[in-house]
Amino acid sequence: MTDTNLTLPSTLRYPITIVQLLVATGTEIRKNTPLLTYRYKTTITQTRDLNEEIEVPAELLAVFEAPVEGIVGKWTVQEGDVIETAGRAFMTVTEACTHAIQFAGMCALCGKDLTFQDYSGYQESERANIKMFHNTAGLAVSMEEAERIERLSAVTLLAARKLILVVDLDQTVIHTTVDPLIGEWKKDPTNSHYLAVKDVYSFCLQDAANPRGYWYYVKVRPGLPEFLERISQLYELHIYTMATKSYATEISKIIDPDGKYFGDRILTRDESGNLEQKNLHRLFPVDTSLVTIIDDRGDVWKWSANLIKVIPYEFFVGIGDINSGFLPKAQDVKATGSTSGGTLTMSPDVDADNLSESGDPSGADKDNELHFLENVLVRVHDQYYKAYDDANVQEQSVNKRKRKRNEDWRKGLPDIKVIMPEMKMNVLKGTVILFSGTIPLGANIDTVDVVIWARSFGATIVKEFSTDVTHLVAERVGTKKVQQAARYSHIKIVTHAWLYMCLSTWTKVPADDFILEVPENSAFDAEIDGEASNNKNNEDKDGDDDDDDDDDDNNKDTDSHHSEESDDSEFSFDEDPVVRCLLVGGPLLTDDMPVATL
Amino acid sequence: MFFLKDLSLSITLHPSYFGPSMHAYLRSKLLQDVEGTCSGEYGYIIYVMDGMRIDVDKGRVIPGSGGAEFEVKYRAIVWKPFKGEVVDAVVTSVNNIGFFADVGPLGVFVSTKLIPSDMRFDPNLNPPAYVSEDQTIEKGSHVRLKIVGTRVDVGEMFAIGSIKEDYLGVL
Repeated sequence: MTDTNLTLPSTLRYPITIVQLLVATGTEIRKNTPLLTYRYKTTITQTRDLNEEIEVPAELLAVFEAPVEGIVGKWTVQEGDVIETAGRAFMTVTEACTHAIQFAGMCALCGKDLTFQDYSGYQESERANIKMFHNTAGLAVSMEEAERIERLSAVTLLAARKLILVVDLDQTVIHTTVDPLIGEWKKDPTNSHYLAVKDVYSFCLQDAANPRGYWYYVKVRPGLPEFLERISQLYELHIYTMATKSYATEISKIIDPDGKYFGDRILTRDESGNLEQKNLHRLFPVDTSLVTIIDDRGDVWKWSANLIKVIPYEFFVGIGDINSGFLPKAQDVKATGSTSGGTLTMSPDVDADNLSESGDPSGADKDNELHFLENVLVRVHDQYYKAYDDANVQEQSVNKRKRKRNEDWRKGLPDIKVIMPEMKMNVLKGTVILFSGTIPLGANIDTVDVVIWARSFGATIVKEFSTDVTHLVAERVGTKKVQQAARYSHIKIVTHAWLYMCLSTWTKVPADDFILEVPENSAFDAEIDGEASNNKNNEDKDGDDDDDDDDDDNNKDTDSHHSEESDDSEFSFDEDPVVRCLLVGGPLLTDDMPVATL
Repeated sequence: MFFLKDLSLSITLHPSYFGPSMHAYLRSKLLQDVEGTCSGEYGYIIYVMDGMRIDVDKGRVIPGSGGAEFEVKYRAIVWKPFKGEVVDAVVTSVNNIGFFADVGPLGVFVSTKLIPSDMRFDPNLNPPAYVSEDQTIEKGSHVRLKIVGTRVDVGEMFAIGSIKEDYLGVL
């Protein structure tokens, strides 16, 4: 028995005037029992004379019928009231069942079939329209029920001092390819790639369209078992992937063979209801204050405040995310250098025999993102529960445990959506970053992933060179911006690896290990007017700068000359996959005229 | 509940099937078309009885197309779940608002409100389960439940179950 507030639907013609209340408190009503009569204003068409039609304003009387059955509680409107808008509660009804949980069109509490629609247009199945469960299609709950469920699970989590972590699969914790070459290499111990792929898992998926099935080859990101083991102590883990159900099930067998980390908490594109976006409200419709997300794509989450973006894991170079077919094209940046880097080069145009291995020949995978990620997640957890404890102490001193079972039970609880951005914002605060050779010419920098990502860490990203710049992030030296920056000793010219290191460790790592060496002997030597004698960056790397002093003036000339010509067409398609990946999605406007070669 | 039911199906054949093995073909087509299907009227057609004694009438040529229509009479075991019926089921999935169970081809959902209140959901168990002092309901458990409501969709049926009564629950 539950009291329900009946509200007036938006289908009435407002404003309306209540004329008469037809049922008294305590009467039993059925569906479509007349509840009240009301007057509303409208225009009607009348025929005057023979064929002239005119619109006449009129006031008509109508009856409003009960959408539900139960026992009338009390009226909250009176005869003569004028109601302006929809959504106003007008009476309470004590219902035997509110049909708050529904399964396949039936109420899961009383078993009634709710798909029946009567002439009034009120549909019982609308009362439970929130799908919040991982794998059980057809199960839906009402808002009140969703809130109740979330409250219960939040209380359990807080008692266990845990948070929630939503994990993406492809390129976040694993990398998968369907290239049959891997299968051949795995079978043949004498193959030169055998060591690299021997711990690659494989499975076969069949469906009606492909009775023979496809073989999938899965590389688990290094350190994943340890990561899951430790993080599952602090977080309740969920999988949210854009892959199919059968694929996700196979992957969970690989990364979680006992089912102890994820259990049944797997949401795939078969159930998520959206092929292009991921939405936290699909799993947590009411409250996301305990939720963190790890994903290699920020755009699919609309850069949610709960998101921790990770550097994409790319073991099979050039394959990308095999399950991103429906997603908008990734314009993402892949990190190289010390943080990660593909091990196997697999571009389709390369002959199998001379496939180059950019990584260690032993197949050692140097990706250590998960290690950094674990530290970050531990820090977030600590920070959250520190805030939680502080809030609790305050709360108890103010009003002694008054809020239990209260409507605002969540009030005073810390929120990940506040805590995490705050932590991030401090990381690169005061850093002014200029990219060189990274963003395609003419692209709007506000929409570039790496810019959004760096900004969420408090960095200021500028488009043009100025003396405020503190870090110039470049991959190669022959660009105008590098030359400009090299003139100022306070500007650190660093590789992308520095930025990714900062973003994945959530600390401002010292730039010294990532300095991009600006060669002294080249024609565009950066040291000008002796200013650069302070330029520690250059001096440290090569000690023979004295030789070049004579050429300073010449260089200056050539510099300015080339600068004009080359302008911003500074990036080139060199061998570096980073630069290539960075450019994806932008106009490829280069005439490849780096100053250095002229 | 199970029933033995006399049913019939009309099958249309293309003339290329006319010949000595026509009857055998009609029989196999019948089994293919009806066994395992579900309709609101009869529930699930579990099994077609007496495979050799399926009665095929003479058939009637359809004017204009050259094909022929046959009325095939057969006897089948059908199973239709009813509201109030008590059935045995295997649990397929457990979550915080209830559990799902299969009664043969029928999917049943039992919500927490219809689970005895001494059974609590424990999400930390592996697999997650409803636990009371002497009972555990987890994936794979056998339970006896009472059907509270059924609904027919196109080609399938669903039901709501309850174990909140005497003699219901884990077997």
